[in-house]
Amino acid sequence: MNIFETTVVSTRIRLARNINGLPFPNRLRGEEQIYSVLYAGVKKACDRVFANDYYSMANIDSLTSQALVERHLISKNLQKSKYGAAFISKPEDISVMVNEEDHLRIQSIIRGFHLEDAYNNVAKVDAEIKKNLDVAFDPKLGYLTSCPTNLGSGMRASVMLFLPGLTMTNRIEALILKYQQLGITIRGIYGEGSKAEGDLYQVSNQAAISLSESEILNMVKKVVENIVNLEDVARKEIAQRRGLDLKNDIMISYGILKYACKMSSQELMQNLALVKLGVALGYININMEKLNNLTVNTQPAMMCFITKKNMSAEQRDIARVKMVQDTLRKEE
Amino acid sequence: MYTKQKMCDCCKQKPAKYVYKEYINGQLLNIALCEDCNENSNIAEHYNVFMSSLFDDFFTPTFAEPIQMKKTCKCGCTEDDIINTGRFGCSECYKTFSNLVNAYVNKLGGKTYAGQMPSHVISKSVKVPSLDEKIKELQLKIQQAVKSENYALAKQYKNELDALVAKRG
Ligand SMILES: [Zn+2]
Ligand SMILES: [Zn+2]
Ligand SMILES: [Zn+2]
Repeated sequence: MNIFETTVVSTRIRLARNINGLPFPNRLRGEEQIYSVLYAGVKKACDRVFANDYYSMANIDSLTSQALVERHLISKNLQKSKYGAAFISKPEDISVMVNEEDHLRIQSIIRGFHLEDAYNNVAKVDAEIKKNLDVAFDPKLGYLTSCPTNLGSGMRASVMLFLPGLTMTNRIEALILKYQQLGITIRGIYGEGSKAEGDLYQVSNQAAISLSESEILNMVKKVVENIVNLEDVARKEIAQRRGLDLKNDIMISYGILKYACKMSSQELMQNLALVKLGVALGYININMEKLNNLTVNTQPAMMCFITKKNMSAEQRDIARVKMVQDTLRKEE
Repeated sequence: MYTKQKMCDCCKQKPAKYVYKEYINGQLLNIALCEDCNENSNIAEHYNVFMSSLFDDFFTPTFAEPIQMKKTCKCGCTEDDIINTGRFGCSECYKTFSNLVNAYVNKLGGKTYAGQMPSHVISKSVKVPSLDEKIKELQLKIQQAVKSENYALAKQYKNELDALVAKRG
C-alpha cells in the first residue's frame, strides 16, 4: 500500500449556486409555489446526470436524516432548513442540497484522492442545472452567494486525511498555522478545536473571490501531496524512534478492538487510529478502506440506521464493538 | 476600561467559549462561538459568521452620520439585515447594495473573479479578447495609422504590440 492509500481517506468538492429572482433560503417566507420551480429544475437536471433518491427535510424522519449527516451527504444546516431537500445519487458519490445556505450546494465525495473526478461530477450537474435554471452570476464577483465569503467560483475542495504521524510528533499545529496563511484551512473532523479525534483532518481551500476552479484544484492538490509526504516522514521517524513500544501500543489497540465487549465512539476512534497506523506500517494486514468505513458506520445514527433498531447509548456501545469485530473477522 | 464578555458571533445571545481563526482572501478573522453553536454545527457551517464580523469593521456607526433614507431590496432585505446577518437576501441585493459589495471587495484587496465564465454568461457578454486577437488587432491599427501617415500613433501601437509579443514569449 502506498502512502496516499494509507493517508487520504476521501475527496470532496462542493459548488454554491443560486437562482436569479428567488430570495435566498435565509429569506424564505413561505413562498412554496416559487420554490416548486426550483425543485423541478433541480430534479430535471439531477435525473439527467445520475439516478437519485430524493429527501425532503419537511418529511424525513430524524434517524434517516441524522444518518445522512454522518455520511456527509447533507449538512446540519440543511436539516434545519424548512424548505430543505436533497437529491442523492445511488452510489452516494453526488449530492445536491436545495435551500441550504444557498439555493444549491452541489457536492461530490469520492473515496481516496480524486480531485479531478469529484470536480467533473459536480461540473456535470452544474452544467445541467444551468440549462434548466437561471444561475446568478456576475462577471466581476463570480457566482452570487448568500454569504459573500463564497463569492468567486463558489467552490470548495476538501480532502480528508489520516495524519497519526504528524499528530504524534506534534507537528500538526505548526502546519495548520503555516497553511492558514497560504489560503488553506486544516481542521479536525471529529472532536473539538485542534484536538482531532481519530487523527482525521480536513484540508480545504479558503474562500477567495479571485481564484479559478483550476487554481483551487491545483493548490489543494499540491498542499495535500506536501502534507502526505510530511506524514510519510513522520511515520518513519516514530516507527524508528519508538520501535517496539509503538508496535506494542498498536497491537494492544488491535487486541482491544478484537476482544472488548463494549466501546464508546471516542474509544473506538482512538484504537482505530492506532490500528490503521499499524496497517500503514505493515504490522497488521487489513483493508484500510474497511477500517475507514467503520469510522462512519459506527456513528450513533448510522448504527441505528444499519441495524434498523433504536438503541440506548449502552446498547450502541455493545453493537459498535460487534460491528467492528465482524469487520475484523471477515478480514482475517 | 472594563472588558465586556465576548458574546457568541453566531447567536449573539450566549457568551462565547471557542474562538476560531480563519483567513478569508488573506485576511485574518476571528469567530467566537458559544457552547451550543459550537456543538450544533461544525465550524464550516458557521463560516458566514465571519462575514458579519467583517462588516462590523466597515460600518461601525458614528453618531455624526446623517440619517439617510434606508435602501430596501425588492426581496425585502435592508442594509441593516445584511450587516447583522452577514448574508445577502437575493442575487439582486448585490446590485441594490453595491456600496456594501464594493467596500467588501476593496477590503479584500479589490481582486475580482477570475474563474470560468458560465456559457450562459459568455453568450450574453462581450468576450475578452485573447492575446493573439489583441496582437492581430494592433497590427491592423498600425497599418491603418501608417496609411493615414499618423506615425506618432503608429509608434504608440508598435510599443503596445512589442509589449504583448514579449508577454506571449
Ligand atoms: Zn451561540
Ligand atoms: Zn450558531
Ligand atoms: Zn435582495
